[in-house]
Amino acid sequence: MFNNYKTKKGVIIEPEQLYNRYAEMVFRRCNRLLKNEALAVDAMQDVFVTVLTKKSTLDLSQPSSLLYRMATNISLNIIRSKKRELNYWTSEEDALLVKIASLEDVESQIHAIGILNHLFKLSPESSKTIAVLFFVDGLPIEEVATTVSMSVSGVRKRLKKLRSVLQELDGIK
Amino acid sequence: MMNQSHTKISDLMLERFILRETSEIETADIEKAIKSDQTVVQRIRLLEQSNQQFSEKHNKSEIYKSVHNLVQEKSRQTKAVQKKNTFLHRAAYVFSILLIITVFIPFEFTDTENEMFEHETANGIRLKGITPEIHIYKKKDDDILRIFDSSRVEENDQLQFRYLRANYRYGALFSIDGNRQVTLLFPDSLNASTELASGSIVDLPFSYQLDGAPEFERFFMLMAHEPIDLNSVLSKAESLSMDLNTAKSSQAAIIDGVFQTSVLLSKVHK
Repeated sequence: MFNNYKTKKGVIIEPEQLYNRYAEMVFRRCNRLLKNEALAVDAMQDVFVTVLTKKSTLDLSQPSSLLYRMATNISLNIIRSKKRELNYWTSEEDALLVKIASLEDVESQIHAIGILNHLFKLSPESSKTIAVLFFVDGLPIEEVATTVSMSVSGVRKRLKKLRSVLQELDGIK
Repeated sequence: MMNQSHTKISDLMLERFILRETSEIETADIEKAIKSDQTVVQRIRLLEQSNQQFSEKHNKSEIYKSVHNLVQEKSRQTKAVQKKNTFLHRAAYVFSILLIITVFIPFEFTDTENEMFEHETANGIRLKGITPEIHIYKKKDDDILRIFDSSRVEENDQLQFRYLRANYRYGALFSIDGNRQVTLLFPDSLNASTELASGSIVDLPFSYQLDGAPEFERFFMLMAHEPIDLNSVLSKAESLSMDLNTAKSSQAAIIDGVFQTSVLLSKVHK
């Protein structure tokens, strides 16, 4: 149906196989964050559409990690766009998710992203995703780093800035 | 802010466990936890039940069909935008040429000062001097470094390629490594077109992670005005790779009549 993906040397993943293998995991991740099955199915579709559209620019050598963080990112975008409709979200975690999803472009506050970054077609990992993995999911820093393909010190730097941004937001409230 | 303990086995780790994608150490840790912690057993059971429920509630192949349709629709839209952009670029190009003709040609025979200006303008275009090049960049932590011939690289370094195509229309990029392995990087496969993307400076749309091959990896970029026969290129490259010293240093043309440049990277091992 689609072309195969070239990832690292010799690693070829057939698209339908990718979907069949990871659909449930992606759905579960979206549902865990969105707490709404219909929205989660939409988000899951968005994840696979994004993967299949950008197949040549993505590193699919670790598909589960990539799809998990894409599912996180896309769910955050949905939360951001629908936050007014989520008035039934009342827990502390819900509030934190809405806050993280609503952060304005934190990337620009953290790094002056050089034009060469575009060369890699792997834009710096969304700080929002890092925030969810660490503050909401409670992953250890090492696992966050592996999941987002960054160094532990890189993730630490992001978290330091994120903490201060989230605390500033708390102060503003 | 929520305060998680950051010591439990994460959901992602368990997802990878049931997909059998955890490393030996991770698997051993989880199996140890299964023996001592009933909640881990329960969480794995819930994941498996959830897989089952998903299949019962949703038609997976229907969802895939709709994903496929959406991808095709996006692809059509992208092509339409590219077509539109190509038209606009061509129109802008024609307009620029007309502007140059209109502005500069009438002054050509006027005075010395204008002759000088024209000379500088002609030099400023610098089209004739452009030769094809391959640039390689390495991602290191959050930085991106340009690397050159003889640079030292390590296993797992992530590389990105950019080329200057000059006026060539077709190209191929491949590497030979210290394991005598030949890898075609561009185009994606032997059957794919060797036509280069438009634009004078082009980034290849993927990055490349070095494996543990010893000693070196040499990247060859070929460019031509006609489509390149990849079978012939790879067969010549395979012959070249038989002798590692020659593979590292040979300046002989892989294919006659085709522009060729290469970058040799030295592998260092931690």
